[in-house]
Amino acid sequence: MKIGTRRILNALLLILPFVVLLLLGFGLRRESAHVALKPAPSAEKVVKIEPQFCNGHDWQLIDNLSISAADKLNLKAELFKMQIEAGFLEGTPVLSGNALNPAFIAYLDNFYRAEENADVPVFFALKIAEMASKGTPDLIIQKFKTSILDRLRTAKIIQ
Amino acid sequence: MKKLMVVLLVIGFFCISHDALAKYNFVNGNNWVAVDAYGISKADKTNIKIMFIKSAIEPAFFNGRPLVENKKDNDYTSYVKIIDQFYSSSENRDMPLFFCVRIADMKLGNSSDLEINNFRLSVMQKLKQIGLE
Repeated sequence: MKIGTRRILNALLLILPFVVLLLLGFGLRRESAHVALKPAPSAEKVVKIEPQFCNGHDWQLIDNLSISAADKLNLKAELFKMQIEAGFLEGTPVLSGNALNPAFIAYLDNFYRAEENADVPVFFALKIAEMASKGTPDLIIQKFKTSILDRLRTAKIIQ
Repeated sequence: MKKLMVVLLVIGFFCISHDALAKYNFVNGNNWVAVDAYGISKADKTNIKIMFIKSAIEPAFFNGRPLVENKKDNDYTSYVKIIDQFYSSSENRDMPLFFCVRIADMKLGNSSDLEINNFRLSVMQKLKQIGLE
């Protein structure tokens, strides 16, 4: 092979990785532009509207039943237990600490007395009760509650 | 002496945990049937039962793994009817309500009786294995 041809080949081999990188970069830019041009999926199509969950209205319904106070407390404890169990059997515990703490029922009673909390599902109310029992500041609890309600309303899970 | 203490602690732990598990009762057919004993209207009884179903569904839904797939609109009464029928048989009373809701959903989704029975048996077997039934 002539010296001139070898030099040209060497130069080509030297340039080749840069050319490949250049082409790859160009390809990636085109791909990202293509992705960006795709319309974002509409939130309306993704959201599946679910019916109401167990919340303050149900809690009030129990309070209005013509049964003894002990039976009401028992019913609430069973609903509470059902939530804990469902979380445990489904694989993600609802609460991190003492699961069957009777003080949580009293907290929920108090929590659902406020009309503004009636739409908060019991699932989240239990989390709030646990936060309160661990001494979380009231401001953080309020922010947590507001963000939960906002998200559930945005997703049209609650009204 | 230290080894003996460790062995005793381990044995104690297993005894306590086994005892705690053995004493645990799931929300099951007995709780479900107890609702019928309350001196309240049929509509209120159905409402309470629906609350139980919603409580079973909620954690799974909010954790992104829905328990039910065949619910139509806001209708839980069909679930109540199926679970009422299921728990009317005393041999099913020990089945936790959580799994019973799943069975009702399978029935509404037109699963065969064989599939449902296999699911029921596997749940009962698993609960026996881990000492929760």
